[in-house]
Amino acid sequence: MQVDRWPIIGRSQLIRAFRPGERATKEAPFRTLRTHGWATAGVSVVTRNESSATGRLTIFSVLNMDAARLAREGEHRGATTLAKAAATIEASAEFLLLKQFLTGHSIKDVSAVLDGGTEEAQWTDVHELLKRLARETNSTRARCSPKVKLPEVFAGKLSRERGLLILNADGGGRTAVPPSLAKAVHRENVGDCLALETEQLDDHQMVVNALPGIDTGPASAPGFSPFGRNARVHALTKADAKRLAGTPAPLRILVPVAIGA
Amino acid sequence: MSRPEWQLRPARPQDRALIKRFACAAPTVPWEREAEHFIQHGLCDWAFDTFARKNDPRLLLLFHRKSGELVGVAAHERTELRYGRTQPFAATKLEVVAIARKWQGQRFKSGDRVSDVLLSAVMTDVAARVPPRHARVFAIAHEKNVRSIAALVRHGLVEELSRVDPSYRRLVTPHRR
Repeated sequence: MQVDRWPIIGRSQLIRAFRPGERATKEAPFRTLRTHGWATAGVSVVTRNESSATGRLTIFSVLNMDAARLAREGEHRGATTLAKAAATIEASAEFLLLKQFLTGHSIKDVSAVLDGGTEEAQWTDVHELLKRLARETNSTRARCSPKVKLPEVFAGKLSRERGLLILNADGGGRTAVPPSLAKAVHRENVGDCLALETEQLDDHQMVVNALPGIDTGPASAPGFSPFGRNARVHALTKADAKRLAGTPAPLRILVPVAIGA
Repeated sequence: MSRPEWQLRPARPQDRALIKRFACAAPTVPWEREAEHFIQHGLCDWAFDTFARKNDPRLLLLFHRKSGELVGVAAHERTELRYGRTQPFAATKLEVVAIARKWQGQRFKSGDRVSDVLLSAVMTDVAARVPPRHARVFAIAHEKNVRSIAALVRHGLVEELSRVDPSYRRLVTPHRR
């Protein structure tokens, strides 16, 4: 299993990384990041409704979040390094292809892709691109990490045990996840991919940031089991949902039986 | 009216040791071994998990009345099937249906197949649950498990959903359009 962070973010996530707790729509933090070279300009996607252009959404490489955090901590050189790495990712063929895929879609659809709220079955091509971007981002981050101190990323798949949501990391660690955090990034179900980043602010305070995860492992599903509550057997395609939308027929009982107490 | 040759009841925590000894797998058939392993090592925890009560899990045991042998086990629970972020579909998952090796392919003296008695018990139980379950039952079967697939089809799981794994089929009861 290989789960990585969702490789793209929107401006609000970038601002939250730079100024935790502040309103994510503020303009000034983003201008500060850009002025100092601690964030890229991002890639602009034109969104449309049925007949005309409706606006633009800017998508950023998730490496911008790492840059913003370093900038907040005063690690300005590291922030610039990560921002440059983000710019390289955003200039890649995959990122430009992603922009092409998303251009002309509704703001709702593009936002859903941006915040990890799409199903792979619905957006297969986009998910393949995002997986490639996630792998490339992870490699780039690993190359930068000897030079800069980056927050730890705990990524894996969710399971449910004794009423708790548990994140099972690729490396074998496990941690409970507050349901509200998982819900905020559209990752509430067993088998969903989730990434948690932790930052120790001081001895008594820690920031935990949730990001959607994406499975960048091999296409086959080694170790699939249909048994248990963590079995990944509940997802439907559009065709499945259409089939189930009809009225269920009465159950067939071939042999009359009585079940004791 | 004479009592049937079989006896059916829900499992109790005291049945753990009995269920741990339940053998239903041919040693060379991997999906049978997988089911047997789950039954012996995971099914009771699944059934008696206090945190899962809202799912209404049910574990049924089929006994041969005269000998007291455990002939079969079947388990089901309430769950949901989901398409994206749309309203989920209430459903019942057939968690496992298994017959002891000695009884596989056999019939009771009444002429009823053992598999038919067990699956009829599941459907009867689903239909009788309070609060009522939605009459939408699905099961996952290995694509090479032709006997199980045939039994499921006989008992009404005649439609097929998309596969969640290349080797497993996902069968569901039918729907009227």
